[in-house]
Amino acid sequence: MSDNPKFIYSPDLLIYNFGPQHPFNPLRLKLTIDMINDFKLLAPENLLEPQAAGEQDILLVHDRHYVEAVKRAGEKGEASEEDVQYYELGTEDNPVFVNMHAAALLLVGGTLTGAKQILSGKADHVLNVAGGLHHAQRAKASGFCIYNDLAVAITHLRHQGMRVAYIDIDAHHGDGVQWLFYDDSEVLTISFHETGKFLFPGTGTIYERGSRNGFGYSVNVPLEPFTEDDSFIEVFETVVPEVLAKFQPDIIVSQHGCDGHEYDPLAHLSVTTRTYGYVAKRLHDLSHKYCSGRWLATGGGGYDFWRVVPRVWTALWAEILGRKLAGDVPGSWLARYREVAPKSLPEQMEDPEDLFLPKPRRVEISEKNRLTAEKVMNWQFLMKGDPQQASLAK
Amino acid sequence: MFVEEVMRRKVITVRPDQTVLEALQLAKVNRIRHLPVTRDNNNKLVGIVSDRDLRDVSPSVLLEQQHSAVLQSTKVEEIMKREVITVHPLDYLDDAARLMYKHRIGCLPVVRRDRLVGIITDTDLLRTLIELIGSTDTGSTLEIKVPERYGSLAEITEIIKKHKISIASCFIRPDKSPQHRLIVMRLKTIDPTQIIAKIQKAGYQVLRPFAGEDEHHE
Repeated sequence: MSDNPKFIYSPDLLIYNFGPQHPFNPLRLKLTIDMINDFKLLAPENLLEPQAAGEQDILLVHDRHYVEAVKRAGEKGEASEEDVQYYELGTEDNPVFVNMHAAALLLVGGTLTGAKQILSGKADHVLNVAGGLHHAQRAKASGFCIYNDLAVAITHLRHQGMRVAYIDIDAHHGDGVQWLFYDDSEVLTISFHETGKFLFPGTGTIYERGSRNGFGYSVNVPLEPFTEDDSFIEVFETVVPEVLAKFQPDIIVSQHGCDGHEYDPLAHLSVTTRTYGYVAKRLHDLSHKYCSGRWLATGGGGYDFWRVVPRVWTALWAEILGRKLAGDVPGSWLARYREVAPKSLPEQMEDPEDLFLPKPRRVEISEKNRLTAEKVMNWQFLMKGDPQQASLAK
Repeated sequence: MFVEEVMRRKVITVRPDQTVLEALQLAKVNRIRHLPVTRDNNNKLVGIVSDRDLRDVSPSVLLEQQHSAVLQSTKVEEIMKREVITVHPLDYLDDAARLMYKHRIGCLPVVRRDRLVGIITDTDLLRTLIELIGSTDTGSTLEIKVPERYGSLAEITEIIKKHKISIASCFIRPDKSPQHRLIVMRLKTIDPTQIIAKIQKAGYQVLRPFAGEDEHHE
């Protein structure tokens, strides 16, 4: 179905590690790659090693002083008071570890390598499950993210003349990417996330719509806590196809954080594998419809790494390959991890329909989400080139 | 918080001898609803006109004539309110808010030593409310119900301090039950789960972000 898609991986990516107590555990990657291998989904011609990003790549989006601070802290493996104060390095969210700079460069390099593969025409779809660090800001670490691989890759694509549609389904607002392209009409950012009323980072209201040239090119769909599959899929369908049709992107860059799953310990959305499978399928279709197949996908959040992350990202890779997966989690994978997992592992790739009881306020939550999506769409005529905007400007 | 911290210093005013038409146009162009009336030479406040006062003396829009002569012949001083409720820059903001609430008015001229030095409107109060409770610093927000006794806030902040996490904003508000208070705080972290667990262990109720909707399946 697809021309030689690439999966970015190297065991060196596991070096990006904040320590055993931290939720952003490299096991997220290890468990995923093992499941993919156990499904025999990774032929040698599909595997691509990440090329570490150069400092000049990082400096496309990050402040030089911040990069110096990351390097310094990574040499000693400890942060100074200033690092904590100014750069939010060495906090509980973003602990410092030895060789942090190099580890983060490799991770950014993974996504950038993917972007370059697509630009060169060697591949149409690329997946970097280690990428998706959407919170990192110009001069600040944030929410487990040191460098913003997405923003570096998008900037590179942009410099090559690509119109980029960025779509983020992580439970947390894709704030880092949004702010870095807030003024830019060549980069459309769309983020679906749990409302920031209580959840980190707090931004991502429908009123954040871009500024200056970029006005109309930031789209936010904040969802109610306990949003379930049907409602998520409904608002996704309300927003994404129509906005992409207006924007006419050259490439889709997507962030597939799966921390909106019912099981996830950090966020409070209640979707299941059904939502993630659906979104992957739709983005795949849309990449062919608008972008001749150009589609760069990354991982993201996801902190139930035993029960959720490996299944969701394995299914994503299968979708990219155009392969239908058997319904069972591979026996070899279960045999390897059943004993060490702290929780009982699901044996089916897809969650059952009765994974949990319907949420008490389901009707109300769906209604609220529907209204949010409608409001967002009422404004979409402000995107440039739309006839309604042209008439408004007169 | 003092009135002078919130008030606007640039005030659009009219003179008593200006016409109602001029006042109407001033309000329209500047998109404001209140015009303090001052004398040119000393900025002394002598009255106030609101958009409602101006409209009361305007002819109906259903009538055909555009600028009726009456708007040009009537002076501001003929229609302005002379008894003006004012505040001082060093009044407390909550007292100013109470005044506006009690008298159902939308603005208070700020007067010091008989001179108009600023204005504070309901819009300014709303802006202040947004700044107070709508912190935009990145972080996670908690709502904690605590009994009305000493030490609760200290105990909670001690837990947060041990995690070396900064508090971006914090306010305490009344609860429905008079024996309790609600502490609302924004913590600069993506992962407040351990802190929430410890606060609960210390005997406090964390209402949000869970609100007891249901239990996660384990």
